[in-house]
Amino acid sequence: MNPIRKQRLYALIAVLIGSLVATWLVVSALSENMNLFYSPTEIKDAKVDEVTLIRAGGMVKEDSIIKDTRTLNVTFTVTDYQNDLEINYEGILPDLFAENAGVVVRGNLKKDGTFKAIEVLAKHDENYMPPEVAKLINEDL
Amino acid sequence: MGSPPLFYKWSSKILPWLSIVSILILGVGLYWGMFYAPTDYKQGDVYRILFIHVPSAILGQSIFMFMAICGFINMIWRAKISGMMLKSAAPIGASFTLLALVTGSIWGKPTWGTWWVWDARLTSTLILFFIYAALIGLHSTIEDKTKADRAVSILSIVGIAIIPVIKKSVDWWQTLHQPSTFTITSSPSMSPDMYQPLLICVIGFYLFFALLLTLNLRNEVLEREKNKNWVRQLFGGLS
Amino acid sequence: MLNGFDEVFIMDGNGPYVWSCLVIFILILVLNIFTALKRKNKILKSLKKL
Repeated sequence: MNPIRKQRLYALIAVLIGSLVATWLVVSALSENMNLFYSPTEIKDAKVDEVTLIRAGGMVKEDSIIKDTRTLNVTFTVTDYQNDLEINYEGILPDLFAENAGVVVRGNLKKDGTFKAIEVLAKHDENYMPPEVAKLINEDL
Repeated sequence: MGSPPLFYKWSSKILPWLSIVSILILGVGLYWGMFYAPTDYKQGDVYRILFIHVPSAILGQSIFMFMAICGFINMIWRAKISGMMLKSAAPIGASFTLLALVTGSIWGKPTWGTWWVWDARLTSTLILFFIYAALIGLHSTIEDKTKADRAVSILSIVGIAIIPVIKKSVDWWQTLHQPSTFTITSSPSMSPDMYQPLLICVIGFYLFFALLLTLNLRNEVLEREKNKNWVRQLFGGLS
Repeated sequence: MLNGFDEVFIMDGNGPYVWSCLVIFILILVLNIFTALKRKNKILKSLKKL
């Protein structure tokens, strides 16, 4: 490689490293803020007032979903397997909402420690399989 | 194929084959995915969007890496064709990134319950789309094509830092988007009769990118070399 | 494997989402090819004039 090209190569590597470092700095500065939601544990430790809209997320606890038969009211518990958070919601739930499935809710934390949700989003996981395979896996467990 | 006339001649020969093969493979992959692949146990049939969404997202990121490599070659060796390649790839990459965003959004509505959330994966992909837009815009504002190529080369090398951020966003932050199904460290968490058609789709998308790139690059070559002898000989304007 | 019109096109109500994705996909690909061919014609026309 001739000297001019070598010089250009060094300059480009400097540009690349500079850009990577700058991006890394931005990413680490944003770090906490880029999380879409808080886990029940984080919410328990944090001081949040009743009017601030926040997002909480975790797994829907087994046997915790209580649906009101006459209204659209629903109560369920979200867990990160360390702490639980009770959610109250009135509205239509997404198709993938289920026990032991991920969920992200938006709303306010009430003084009594329960969470009043105005929006419920279902998180889906990275597993894809036909129903027959899913059945086999469940039988194995 | 380093020189424009050689590329033009050579690409004329492979163009018909590339068109047939890419459309054939893409058709087989999509047909397999849409009609023959089994229904998902949890999401039902709506998961079939992934046969378009996942390859689009892969291509959106791969094309950017391809552009950064072209930019690198263009800056060090000043090979004319690498600059044209860079310019020709940009609108294709932007198209696939947009496609990934739109199909993801359409997928999000029935599964998550929302068209859009500002989570790390979605936001970083949107930034990638804006970088593509910036590259295209920058190239069109600089009159001198060689200078435009160089400016875009530098910007594509600077912008490459977004790719690892997109890739790792689902691991670094809590997102609504699910983590990767395919990782190097463990076997894929998808059954074979689903990832086989997906793989065919991904190959089809890459071939289709090659086809679009060849079409765009041939135009770029002709336009920039229109005063050269070889173009005049090819198209008869021997005045 | 899907059989029959309902299963293939309605997909328990999620069909429109899937098929609109396919339509948008084809639209964007066709648009890419179309712009490339249009540009080629324009260039060839200008070459003839030289």
